[in-house]
Parts: sequence; C-alpha cells; structure tokens
Amino acid sequence: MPQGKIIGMSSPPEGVLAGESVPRENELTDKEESMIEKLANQMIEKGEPYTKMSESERKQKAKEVLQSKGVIR
Amino acid sequence: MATMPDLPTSDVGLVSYYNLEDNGSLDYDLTNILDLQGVDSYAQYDNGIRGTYNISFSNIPTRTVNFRAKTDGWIIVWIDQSEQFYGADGDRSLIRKNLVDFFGDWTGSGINNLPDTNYAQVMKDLVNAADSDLSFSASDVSVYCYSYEPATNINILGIPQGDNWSSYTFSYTSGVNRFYEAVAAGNGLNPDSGKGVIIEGTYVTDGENSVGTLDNIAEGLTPSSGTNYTVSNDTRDARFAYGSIVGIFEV
Repeated sequence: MPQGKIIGMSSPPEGVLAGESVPRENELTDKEESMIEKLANQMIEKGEPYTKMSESERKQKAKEVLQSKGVIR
Repeated sequence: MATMPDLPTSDVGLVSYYNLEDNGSLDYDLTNILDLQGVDSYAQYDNGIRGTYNISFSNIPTRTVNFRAKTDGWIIVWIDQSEQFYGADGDRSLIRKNLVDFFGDWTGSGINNLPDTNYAQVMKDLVNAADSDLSFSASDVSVYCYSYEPATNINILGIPQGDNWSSYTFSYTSGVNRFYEAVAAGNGLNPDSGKGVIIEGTYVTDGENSVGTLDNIAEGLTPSSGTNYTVSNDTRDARFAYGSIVGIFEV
C-alpha cells in the first residue's frame, strides 16, 4: 500500500510577502481576513473586472474597500 | 541599506512560512543565518535578509530555494513559478527538476514524515540559526501555493524507500479539481535493473542511477476520476526504485 502525506494550505498573513516588517499586532485578525475573503468571493459574482483579477488581487481590492469604509483597520 | 521590497505573488510558486515570535522566540539574531553552510547567496536589508539556499540529495543535482527572514519574525522559504520546477514534461532524462524538490521525496525517505521535507529542513536550519533556544517543529510551518491559488491541498503519495515493491495504484474522486499532478521517480545503483519506474505503461526513469518526472495531466496519463492508475517498476531489486505522485488540488 502506498503511503503519503496531505498538506493543507492557507493564505499567508500580510507580513509574509510584505517587504516592510509588520508588527504582529498590526496584522489583520482572522475575522478581518474572513471578511476580506467573503467580499473577494462576492466580487467574482459581479463579473469583470473582478473575474480577470487573480485571487490575491481581488483580496487586496476587497481589503482596500473594507479599509476605506472603516470596517477593518 | 534599504528596506526589503515586497515579494510579488507572481514571483512565488510554493511558499512555506513560519513566524519566530508566534512560536515563542524571545530573542533572535537573523545575521546568524549568514553563517549557515547551505546559504548560497544573500542580500542584507535594514529589516532582514534575502537569499538562496542549497538543497541536494544523492544523484539529484543541487537546487536552490529562496528564503527571506525579517525583523518581524517572518521566515519564508519558497520556489518561484519558473519552468525549472513546474516543467515536468519534456525529455525525462534531462528535466529532473520538479515540485517534489520542495518536498524532498525523490527517494521516498520522507514520504510519510513531514519533518523530512526539504522546505521543513531548510526552515529548521534558518530558525535554529536565528534562535538556537527555540524548539522547532515542522508542524508549525504553513504552506501556500500562489501558482494555483484556489488549491486547498498538496498530496504526496508513494512507497517508502527500501520496500521491495512491484506496483501500486492510485485514483482521485470526481470532487477533486486537479491543478498539478506529476510523477517523480528515481532508479538507484542497480546494475540488474530494467529502465525502472513506469506509470501507465510509460517509463519515467531511464535505467540505472536515473531520475525523471512526467506531468500526468499534460501527458494525459491519468485523465479520469474514479479510475485506478498504476505506478510500477521493472527492476530486479525494487528497493532501489522509487516513484511518487505529487498532486496539488482543490476539494
């Protein structure tokens, strides 16, 4: 019988790819991340230009929208 | 010096990430990383280090993976999206690089053991150098794939090295959306061997002391869900042969 391993994947926090050092207390909470993901998914239903964006671009756009409305930090 | 630039997601294929502070480091010195023998090249910034790190095993040519360590505690190890890791199809005697490099399962030595993966080994080296007091656990390292962002899981499947195997089968269910699936195989020092590892009638290795990969999706080797596909070998002593399946998929 073959053996193996399954590695689950999750989208990294902001500080992983950011060039600047991001203090952990300034990073988004899981709840804020969840709100961003939900809005990013809703964007897909709106069609273009969102459907032409990559997932990370949609999430960035969703984050900007939520921050501009003061919903998240 | 300058602040480290952002890392564009378009440059990143597979990334593993770990935060020193989240895992209890009270004090760390990133410059200790520069003393590691595995460091191939590096650049220093005001807030950290970016570099490349050697990974190698047996007759597999030395590869480098990228790493970055920052003063906010984030250490990441990644491979880019270039063909050198994703180009599994082509002349199988030459195209040896594969995503399996990231996991180190060319020989199956770590098939069921997360700490033996290459990315975890490199991360362990970096973490231990930055803070020798920190107890590193591979299970604290997260992984993400920017090449296939909807993907939820990576699966690596095979027979552990040293087992005298003849064949095994694998399949996937209809609910699995495959983004990447490749076979990665090696055939060690075995003068009595045939060509080595075979998937669905197609050789992956090319005789003694060879390694090879094939892109199962591009080659049309495993087109249908719910079907058993066979990985086998024609070596006299199969302890020297190994073939793993690497899959990146959404469920």
